Amino acid sequence: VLAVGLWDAIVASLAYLIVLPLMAIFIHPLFLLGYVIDLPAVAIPVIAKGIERGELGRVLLSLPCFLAIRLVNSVFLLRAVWSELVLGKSLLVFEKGH
Amino acid sequence: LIGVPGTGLGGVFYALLVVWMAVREVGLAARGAGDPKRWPKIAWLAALLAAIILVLATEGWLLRLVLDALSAPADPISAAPPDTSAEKNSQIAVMGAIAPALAIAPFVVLAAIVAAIHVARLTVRPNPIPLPGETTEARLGAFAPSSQEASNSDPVRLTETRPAQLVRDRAA
Repeated sequence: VLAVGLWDAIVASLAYLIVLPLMAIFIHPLFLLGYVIDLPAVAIPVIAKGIERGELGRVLLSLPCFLAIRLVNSVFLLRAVWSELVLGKSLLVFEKGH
Repeated sequence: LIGVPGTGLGGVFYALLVVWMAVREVGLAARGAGDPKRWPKIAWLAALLAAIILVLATEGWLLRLVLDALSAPADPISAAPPDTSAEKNSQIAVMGAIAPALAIAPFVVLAAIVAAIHVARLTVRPNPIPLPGETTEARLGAFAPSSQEASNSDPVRLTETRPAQLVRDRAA
């Protein structure tokens, strides 16, 4: 499960930040649909749970935000991978920022 | 419990796990070890999976309509040549070729990752330092040193627990 999650996170981050923009520029703008194409797959279980919890409105408001936060998460994940694997700065040690 | 799916590897993993849960439960029931209380949960997850597949299929059908509309002539009634340029048609052809590859790729990659994990499990030597309450032999399994190897190695390392090893490392 961890290997699948890590692979998905790295590949999807590279796709969102590098591959999709390049394909949209050089092949066809329709590739920009890649940013939202899995929204139904994500939305269905979340909406089902939202109905169960009586929070459908909050779920519907959150779904567009999920698309935005996913892009931000991609940046953070790639920074973390770069730090861990390339720079050799392990994330196992927590350094307090203040 | 399995997590939230997407269309990538996670989505394929989600779908395969739901299918596996049903297959496993059928196998357990056939051996008389099944638990009827698990079926409602499996049915709920299978319903979610069916809904996801249905929505994605509809999405794919709509995308196909859009692609066909983009590649069709601007005025199909007249005998005028298509409005789309050769370059535009080739771009759409590339998209048509990429789509099936993108659909198959998650299955191929998932199989490769699972295979790589099993290869690593069989070949990579696990950490020899046992967890508290765990013997070295139990931790190493097939990789456990023979009695001759054990007698030649550091006896403290084979018997101490992980916290003890950490304390020793920090002191050093």
